Amino acid sequence: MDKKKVVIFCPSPLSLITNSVCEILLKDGIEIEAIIVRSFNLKRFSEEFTRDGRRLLKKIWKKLVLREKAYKENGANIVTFRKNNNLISKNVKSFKEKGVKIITCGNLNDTKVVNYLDSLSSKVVLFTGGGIIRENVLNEAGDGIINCHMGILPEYKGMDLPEWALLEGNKDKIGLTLHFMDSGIDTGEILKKVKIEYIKGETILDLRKRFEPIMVQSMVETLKEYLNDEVSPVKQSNNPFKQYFIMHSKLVDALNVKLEKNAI
Amino acid sequence: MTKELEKYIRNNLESLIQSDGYPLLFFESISKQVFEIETSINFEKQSNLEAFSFFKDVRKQNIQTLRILNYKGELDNLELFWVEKILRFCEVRYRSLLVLGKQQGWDKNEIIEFYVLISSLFFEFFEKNKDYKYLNIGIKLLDLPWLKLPSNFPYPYCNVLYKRNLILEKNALIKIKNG
Repeated sequence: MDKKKVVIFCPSPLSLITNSVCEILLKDGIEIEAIIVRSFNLKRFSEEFTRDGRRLLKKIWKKLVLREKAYKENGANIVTFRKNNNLISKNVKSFKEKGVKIITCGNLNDTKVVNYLDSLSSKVVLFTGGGIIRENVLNEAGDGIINCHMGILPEYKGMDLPEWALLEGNKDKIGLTLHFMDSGIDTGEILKKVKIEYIKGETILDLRKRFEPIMVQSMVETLKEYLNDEVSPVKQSNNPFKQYFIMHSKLVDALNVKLEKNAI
Repeated sequence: MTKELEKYIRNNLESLIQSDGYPLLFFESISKQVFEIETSINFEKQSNLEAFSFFKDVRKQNIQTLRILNYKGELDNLELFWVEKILRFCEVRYRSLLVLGKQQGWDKNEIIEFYVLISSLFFEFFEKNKDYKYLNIGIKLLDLPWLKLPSNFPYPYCNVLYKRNLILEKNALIKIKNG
């Protein structure tokens, strides 16, 4: 059987998560066939602004302008994690020197991406961000596309799941789920669940920052385990759990007050 | 806010009572506390929920039916499905609800009336079921600039419901903050 080729889907060449994942995978001897990078253009801005509103501006400011400066020095966050693990890559384009193909596209669902995936025989894709993936890409993704979802499935589908789990008093349902994407919203087969303990007094922002290095480690570990046949996808049961949407800032603020009061 | 609402209700009581049963749940839950009077909700005036299959087919009478059934604790699976479907529609199309209403040929007041009723359904559903997803979308709807009612809005019951929803929002947020 052919060795599986690993393809990474990337939301931005500057993504600290993607850079960290790729660097660790390469250090650990995992060959990356290609990194498919979604470029940031006006069309993407318009699409994401329609979905996220002002949140997008904050996201751009944090991820593209402030970057590492958005994090507390020595805090439990991705910057400290990178420092502790000697991860230095700041732009995925630098992996070209290590033989990794860098493919830039306007959208991860472009024909260019579909044709490229079609040209590879045995493959698995790791999604580190970049928007909704359509069926045409899913169909050409070989074994599938592994996503790191910021909630415990099947209960927590959708957006802002650490916030929702805390608001609903389900501290034991905070965490990540590594799963294969399918055409539904967070309904694909599950590879692994990683629970994350909430630290009393922690704000939502601190919790989210603590998620990022755990996401990187979980993506790397799960991909390696999958490639070594140490983990198998398990179907999600037909369940009544509903989708969560972006939490309104008033609710987030109220939740933060509750957390600060240590009321949970 | 409560005093302001009380004052508004007192000043408009007559027209509210004549407004075809629309204040509904607000009257049941608030009038008893504030005015110590019983009001008659027209529970018979329900419209057939199976008659619509797309969100664009939903009318204010359907929303009123859902509100009544929620109040009575009688929402069946089909109706719960519709409450959820309405939530999903409002979340996904949140930024284009006004435009979509206009595309249906409704005037702005009709659109406002419709979404005031929908946000009322969401707040009431939250009050009854403590499902925060409904509080979330209720707050989002109240935040829409075009849904902020002018004082001369032609349907007094809408002003009442809108103001009541603001109170429910405020109370719910205080409860969350206090744990």
